[in-house]
Amino acid sequence: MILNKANKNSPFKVPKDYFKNFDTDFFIEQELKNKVEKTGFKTPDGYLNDFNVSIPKISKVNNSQKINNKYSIYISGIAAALVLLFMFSLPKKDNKEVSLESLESYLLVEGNQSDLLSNILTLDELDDLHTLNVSSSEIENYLLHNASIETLLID
Amino acid sequence: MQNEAKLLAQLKLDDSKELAYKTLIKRYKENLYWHIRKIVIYHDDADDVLQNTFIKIFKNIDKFNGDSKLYTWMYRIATNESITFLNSKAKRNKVSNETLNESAIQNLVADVYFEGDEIQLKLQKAIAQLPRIQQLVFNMRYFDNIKYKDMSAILETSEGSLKASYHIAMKKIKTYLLAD
Repeated sequence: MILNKANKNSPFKVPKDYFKNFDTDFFIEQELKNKVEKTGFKTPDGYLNDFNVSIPKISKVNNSQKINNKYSIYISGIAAALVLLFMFSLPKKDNKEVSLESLESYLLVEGNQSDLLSNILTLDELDDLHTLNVSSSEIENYLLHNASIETLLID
Repeated sequence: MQNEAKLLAQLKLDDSKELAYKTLIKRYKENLYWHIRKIVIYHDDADDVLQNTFIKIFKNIDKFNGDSKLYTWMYRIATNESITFLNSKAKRNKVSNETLNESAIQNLVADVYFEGDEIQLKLQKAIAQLPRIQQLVFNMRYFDNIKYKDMSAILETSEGSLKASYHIAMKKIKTYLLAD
């Protein structure tokens, strides 16, 4: 009596539609298997008997890989050094491009230089410069006798 | 299982490795071939994938730690190799995986390595309509009778999900076969 009650109130559960699906799957499968049991694929004659794989020499491969790894560290080191060398020795492409901000700040700072002609000469003297006729040979002679090449190069 | 453990131990020792590989190939080549063949359809493709599978097994055997069965691990490699192969083939031919699969089935009638009758051909067409995971589950369960537990280790999917996939696949196949 007690056992009957226990059976009716079994704590075990099955997934939803388990028995329904079980029947469906089982009967469809059996029905299908009566008609089709194999795929229909075949292999060339003797294929599976003759099948072989050229076995790679794993241990030797591993050793050579270790050697290669050792060399690869040196190669990587040399490559990194070359990259750094080129990075610092070659001019950057970006240098060719000057932003408007840089140009503006340059003019603001450099414009205050006391040796600019505009700071030394008066407006009239500056106007006279437009009409100043000096030949290249005269400039050359002046520079030869009065200017120091070293100073000009440093400047 | 004991044989498998022994074979695995031999595969990891330099002295016994080569002989153990030969034993491994002899023991598993047929099962793995048919598993691959059902995925890639053509014999030549199956041959390529089987070769690659064994080479991958050899290269990675030292990494296999015995958490799963050796045969489920090999099946997993074979499955992944087959899927990778099909993806590459589809990409190479600039078609979708579905189109590639469909054309393989269409060409099956003319394939010299297919000797199926009408119902077998129809079943292959029905399988080709399924999503890839359902195809895998159906083939492994219906033709190879692989246990759900092992299938779960091979496909890295829960048993419940695999059972559901098989149930859905079976219903779709029945519908397809009864359609004409």
